[in-house]
Amino acid sequence: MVYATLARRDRQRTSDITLAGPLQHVAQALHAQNGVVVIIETPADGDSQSAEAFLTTIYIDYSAAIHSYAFRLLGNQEDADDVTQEVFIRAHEHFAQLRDAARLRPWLYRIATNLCMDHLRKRSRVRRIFGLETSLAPDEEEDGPHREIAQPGGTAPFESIAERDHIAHVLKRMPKKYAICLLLFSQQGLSYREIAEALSISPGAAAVRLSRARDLFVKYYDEMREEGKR
Amino acid sequence: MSEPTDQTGRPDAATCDEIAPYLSAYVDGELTPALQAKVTAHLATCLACTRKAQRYRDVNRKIALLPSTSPSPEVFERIQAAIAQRGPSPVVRESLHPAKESPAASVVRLLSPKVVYPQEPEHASDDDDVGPPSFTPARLPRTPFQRRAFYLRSGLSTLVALLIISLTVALFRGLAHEGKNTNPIVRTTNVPTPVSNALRQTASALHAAAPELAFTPLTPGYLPDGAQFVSAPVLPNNSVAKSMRYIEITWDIPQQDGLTTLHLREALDGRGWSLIGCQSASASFGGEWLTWGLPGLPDWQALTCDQQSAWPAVGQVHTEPTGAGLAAEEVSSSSPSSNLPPSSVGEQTPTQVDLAFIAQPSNVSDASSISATVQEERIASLSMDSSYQQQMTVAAQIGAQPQSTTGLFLHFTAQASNGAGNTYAITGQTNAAIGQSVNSRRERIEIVNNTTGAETTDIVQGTTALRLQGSSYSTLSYPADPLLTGLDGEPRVGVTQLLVTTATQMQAGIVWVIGDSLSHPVTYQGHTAYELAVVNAPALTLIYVDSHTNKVIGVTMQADVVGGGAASAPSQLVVSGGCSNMPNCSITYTELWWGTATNSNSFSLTPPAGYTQSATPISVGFQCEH
Repeated sequence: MVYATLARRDRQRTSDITLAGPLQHVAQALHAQNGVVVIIETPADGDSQSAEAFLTTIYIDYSAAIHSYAFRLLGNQEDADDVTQEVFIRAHEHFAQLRDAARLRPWLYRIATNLCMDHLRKRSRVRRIFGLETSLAPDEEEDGPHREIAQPGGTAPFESIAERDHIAHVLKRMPKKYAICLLLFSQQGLSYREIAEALSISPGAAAVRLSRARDLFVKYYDEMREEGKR
Repeated sequence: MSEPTDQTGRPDAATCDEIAPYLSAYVDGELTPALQAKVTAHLATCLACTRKAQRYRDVNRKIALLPSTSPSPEVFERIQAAIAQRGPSPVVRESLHPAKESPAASVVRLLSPKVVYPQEPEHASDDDDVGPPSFTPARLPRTPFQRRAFYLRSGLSTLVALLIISLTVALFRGLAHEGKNTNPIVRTTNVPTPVSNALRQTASALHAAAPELAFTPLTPGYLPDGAQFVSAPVLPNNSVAKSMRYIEITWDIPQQDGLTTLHLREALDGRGWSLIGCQSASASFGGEWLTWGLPGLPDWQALTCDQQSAWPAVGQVHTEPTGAGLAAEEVSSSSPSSNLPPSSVGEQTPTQVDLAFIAQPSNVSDASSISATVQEERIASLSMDSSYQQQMTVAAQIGAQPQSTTGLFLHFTAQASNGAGNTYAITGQTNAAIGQSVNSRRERIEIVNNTTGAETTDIVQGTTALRLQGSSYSTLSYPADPLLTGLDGEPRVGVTQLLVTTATQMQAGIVWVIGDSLSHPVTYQGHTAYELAVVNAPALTLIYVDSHTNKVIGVTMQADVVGGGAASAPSQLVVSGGCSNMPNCSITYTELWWGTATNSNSFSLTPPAGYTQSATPISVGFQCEH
């Protein structure tokens, strides 16, 4: 049996090279991320071609992650699509303000978080106007796509799907400030420092918030499990 | 956060209340080493806090269980359309004042189709969750209502435009028929297409094709200089079941000696490249030049190599030509594919071309017999730049049955260098590193200073460890690794540190996912294990990752194919960045192999004969010295 795969560049090696080539105005930054040196090229101001290349690159690298994050916060595909779309449009428009390419990831999550919070606030406002409950979380009707569906070819057992569904509901019940922290760390893999940057708080505050988030998650997880049994 | 008071100076003096605020960060490995050690010491004596820490780990694991989602295929196109509509990216400098609009821009904006966005609302001052972004956003996402309004306006505008165009075309045709010359003037340009266009077109095509496939196609993040996107059809056609379809992506690579076309095929499983066989270069891997002939269409050809050796390749490193730039690094060649000197491909690229290729003949130990009887399972990644992407589980779909791997053990040796000329050889072995539980599971790690000789031998079982050093004997107090639990769920050090390193490498792209372990399925606590290939390995080196926890559970190497069957062949597996979080450090693994366990000696805290117990516990970990 043979397996074949096309590999990616060895980033450790490419970190040694001088970037030039087709992008004439390339700024190089080495981004220590999970112990990995990642090269991020940011286009120079006003270089639309580089900006497009930059957009393509970051879209490939981050769109799924940003979408997953937004999906967990907003609970449906369409809103997550909208947020993902706007995140990259804004990134494209404002990349010139990204002075340090190593901060790209928290920057993107910052934009995404703000957009998601705006979405949730608007929902809340609509609910207030129409006299509905004022939870930030989407309601059950909106929650349809949120539930796990056995995908064609998927192999997850049903109990696993139920567990994921339970986890998603626990997250939904949590105050958003804590759910955001948990998602950024446990799902998106951001470091404390990156979380702090994305949320405009100190790393210490991020640590405290994450600790409380875990306590809350455990509490709700058990409570909702018990509620489900009754 | 300040450290808890430690008035006694003993590492285990902290109380549960003092430890509690740090437990979460401890689990995440975000504490300072001193604080980390303090918490570790406390956990060693406190079952309640240990359980709490485990629950925290469970939270991470649970949330990681949530499946990823992807944006709808049209999102990327919508972004492109929005950007095109909004015009070139503005040069925005950080300023306290909004940029002034030029009169010309105002006119253009007024005459352009209007896309009205609401003003950015002020962020609620009482919301300390998230601060405002570091820029002044120009526009906000469209709400459904605004979208409808936009579509309505756009639709009306489009209708009017179509009407005008239709009338114009009809008029033009009428005039053309009356004229003599009906040939349109066709202008061609030779302006080279930027790679970014090819990437964008590829991404767009893959997104568009995704709904037709039973899997999400992976998008390349890098292409050779000058590459042009040609096509990405879903094949064979839409009449077959989704699960049987695949996508074939083609790029033209002009103006590259020997390189004309690059084809890649993404399939769900088992129907990817076929008839691929190869033998790779010599044992000293670095700098060897291999040329691969990519399969052609429709009948893909066997891969060929310039040089022959007795073992199959896992990854290849191209000699780096001189020059600079992000240029061609691809492997496709038209024909003939062999004997291309390094400089003929990627003149401008100092980077390398890696094509992970694993040949694993079933029930055959000699690589020479793999030849053309092999089959590729799935292209794991088309991206050279994107981060590690977990592959879908397919083992169950093809009915693969887990096989018992009880009795296997992991044996490895490694060399650690401190960057100052001192090197340490490290050997280790563990029982049942892969597979089912056995009571005698333990790990043994020996560290030998290549200059001064043997230094330590650590024996680890569960959370208990011994150190033999010279003639002294110690029980070890070691930091539990927050990232990886041992085979039985207990925190581990020793061999598991190697696996932690491997996990890091996986994220770094130094190892590649090649799918599930289909050829010899491995399970770990009832879960399928993903199989990964190690880049630049001298021989087939596989890493197994628990599909449930995404943690590395084992490393294997088919040593019997190294150097024609000698397990002690002097080949080297150079793993750059193996200890990237440790400055001035490098790790070179030399041999990894596994076989049937033969040793079932019991584990005991009783000092071996000739050893005396040392006075103080030693805190150790497998790490490089700076």
